[in-house]
Amino acid sequence: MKTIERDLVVLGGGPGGYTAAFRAADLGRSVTLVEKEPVLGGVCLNVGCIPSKTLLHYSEVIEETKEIADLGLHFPPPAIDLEKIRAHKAKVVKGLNDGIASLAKARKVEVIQGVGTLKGAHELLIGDDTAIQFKDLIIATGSRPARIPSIPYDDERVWDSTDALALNEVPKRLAIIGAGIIGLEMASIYHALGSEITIIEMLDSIIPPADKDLKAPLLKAIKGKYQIHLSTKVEEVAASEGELTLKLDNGHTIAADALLVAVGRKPNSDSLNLESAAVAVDRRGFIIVDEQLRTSAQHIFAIGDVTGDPMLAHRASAQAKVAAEAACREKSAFLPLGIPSVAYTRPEIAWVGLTETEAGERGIEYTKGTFPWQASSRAMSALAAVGVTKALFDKKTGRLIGAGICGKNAGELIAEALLALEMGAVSEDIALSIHAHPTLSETFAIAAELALGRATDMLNR
Amino acid sequence: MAIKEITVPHLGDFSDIPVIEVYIKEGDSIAVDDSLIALESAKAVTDIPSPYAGTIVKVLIKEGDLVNEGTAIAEIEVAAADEKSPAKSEIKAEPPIEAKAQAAEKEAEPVETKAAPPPAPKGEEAPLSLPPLGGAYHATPALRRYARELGVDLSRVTGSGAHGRILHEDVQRFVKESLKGGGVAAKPFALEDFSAYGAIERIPLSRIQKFSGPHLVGSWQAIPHVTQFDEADVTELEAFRRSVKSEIKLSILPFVIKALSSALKEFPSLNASFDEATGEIILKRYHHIGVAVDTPEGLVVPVVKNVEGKRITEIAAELASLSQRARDRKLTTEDLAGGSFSVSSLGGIGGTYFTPIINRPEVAILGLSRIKKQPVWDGEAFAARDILPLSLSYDHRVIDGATAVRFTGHLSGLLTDLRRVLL
Repeated sequence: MKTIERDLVVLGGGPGGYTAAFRAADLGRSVTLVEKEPVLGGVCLNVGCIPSKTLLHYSEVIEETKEIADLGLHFPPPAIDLEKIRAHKAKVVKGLNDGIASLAKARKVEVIQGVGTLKGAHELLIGDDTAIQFKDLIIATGSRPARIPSIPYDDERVWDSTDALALNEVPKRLAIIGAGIIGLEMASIYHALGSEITIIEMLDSIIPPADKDLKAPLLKAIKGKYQIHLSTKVEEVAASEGELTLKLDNGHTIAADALLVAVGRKPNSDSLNLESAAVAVDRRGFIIVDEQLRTSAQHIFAIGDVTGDPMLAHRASAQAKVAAEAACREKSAFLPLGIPSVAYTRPEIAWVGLTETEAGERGIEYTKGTFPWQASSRAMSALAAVGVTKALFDKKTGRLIGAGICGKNAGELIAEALLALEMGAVSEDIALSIHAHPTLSETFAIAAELALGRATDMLNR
Repeated sequence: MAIKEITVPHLGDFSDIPVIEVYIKEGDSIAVDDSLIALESAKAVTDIPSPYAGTIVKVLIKEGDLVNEGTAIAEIEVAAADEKSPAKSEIKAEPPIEAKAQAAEKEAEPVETKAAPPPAPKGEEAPLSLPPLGGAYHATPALRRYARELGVDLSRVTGSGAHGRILHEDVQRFVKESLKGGGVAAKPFALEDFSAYGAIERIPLSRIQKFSGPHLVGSWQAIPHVTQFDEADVTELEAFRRSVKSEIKLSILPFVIKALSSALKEFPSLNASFDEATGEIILKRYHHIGVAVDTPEGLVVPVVKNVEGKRITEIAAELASLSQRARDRKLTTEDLAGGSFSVSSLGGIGGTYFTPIINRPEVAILGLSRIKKQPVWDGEAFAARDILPLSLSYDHRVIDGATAVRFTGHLSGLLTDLRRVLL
């Protein structure tokens, strides 16, 4: 085994890891990035957000051509060429892989492929052949799909999100355990490609963290398309040659040709030998960090999914910049007022800041403005009248504390609410900013007007 | 029911007084004499009481505003019975901003505190990824970063923007004021966890201490202090004082003040202020002597005005009246303003010498300790004499050491033979 000495080491090359590496390099540090896969980008780019959004674009086009058929525009049924779709997806991913690799090269970030394990507080073992002695370390090892016992994972018809995104086939009947964001996005893709979808969720609602009224339009839209079993557990999965059989605790039995298990993710912290460096984790295995992303070891930082919820790429990259700056002795801190969550469903759901439930838990009194998209001219003309925009304001200060949007492009529209939240905008600031008409974005301003009781596009209640 | 406007009453000859605390908010129901706001003036914190009973409809003032007589404080919906006769408002001055460090604060209740939480051990939940929303302050992300770089705790900065939003200028002003020696250090001294060594208890500073602290720090940091010790043989003075038949009890303090006035006439540079902007010394032709008075709420420094033209019994009577009003919290801001020299007497308690902090913008302060019988060599034998310890702190930029020791020597001579005051 050879031992090398390095300055700042980043373990994990996902959106958190490569961002941390690049920021630290720009601040003058000599950076080494260790990644277990041959390409950078992590789950997000390779087997997560980017491939799923690429495939979701197909499903969107298919669904739109179906919906417009009733309105006087007819297309023949889609002819699906899976191989071409896979090639396109791979091309998108590869383009971004190459982009990151060239950015790393231009910044003189050294990339080492291998699996890192700590040995003490200042040494990282890469496999059996290299030991890196580091000054500072940023851990960005991410997360992996959680597994539930009693599921026959060995059967190749049982998928996790990575298998689903591989798009090896379109099963006739796809069962999905878990009605969170990942489960619902995969349902969208496969439904459009022709699968019959059955979703089984243990909790009593889809996308558990979001407010009920926000999910109502989505629930209405998918109820006719998928079979949905809420508050239901899968008791048994039996694999026979012809099909998979799921026994549910509500008495139903589901026959499926493939099963996707999307029941959350768990941190990749268990194989790092963190104890040897005195890096503390919580009971669920998430690394405990302070607002500078420092772990219980002063020179070791942790960012991204391995530090807890919400497990989102944009949270990881924001943390990455703070950790890199803190490692360079800058006074940075990770104290956002909101981190947006987006479900790329049809219609999309996005929210930021506090939900009504969270505001209630914190005892914050708030006023609410809710604007249904049936009253939005732009939504109507874009066949997107299924949706709602709502904004919550602190009664005492008038400041925006949270917002949620369900509808076409909600993921893009939420950006305005996020900016308003971080800037400390009060309801009047939003209502008085002139929004273009007709747009979907004006629904946010109208929601603010409704909270103030001075809307004109709708009756104030 | 009617809505009335409450305004700032006459406050003496002051203008643009900063509001340091607003006690009321909309919807509060208050009684006559309930405190509405606190003003900082003449080194004192003055509560403005309500002349009406009723419900606050609108608060028209906020912390940091500068007010004058007649400035509107709030609108109040007055309870019917109170409509006609606003109660006569009595302004209570609360102790203050004291130039001496010994404020024994009695109102502070000890608070039981647990030891600071230890670092999260294994097995605990990771902290919520979303911090408490909004926080105690209202500022944009870029400004929060700017403040972090400067080490400014934004919860201590008053925002001047709409809805109290903290602006770039507010942070700059805060830093400038901190550097000026307003005393508000940008970052508190980091303490270790004392509970590791044994049981501890945390007691909050009283409001008075909170306001006096920065003034003390400011004076202490800005003025090069030197303290001259001396003593006065007051045997004859004490014999005379005891022999005087007077309606009011005569302590030695009015005698010292009278002698002090005489000494200040000889040494006018001690009855002065230093104008740092122009580099000039401002001599004052009046002798307004501030006297520290202990009250249940803490120390106050009411001022006996024009002692140079007053008889000792008049000074004594005025001191008695000021002390009584101080204890009854009935001092006006005028009672506390205009001092040109301060006296801090610990004679009733004990001790020998101490180093009082100058009551800025004055340039000197005289500390008196307990009179003690001491053996003094009179040339033939030791005699038992009454000796009064004197501690004079002075601003070395204005007064040099020789002047100071001449002054205390002169004062000592006056106290030994009070007839010299007449010369």
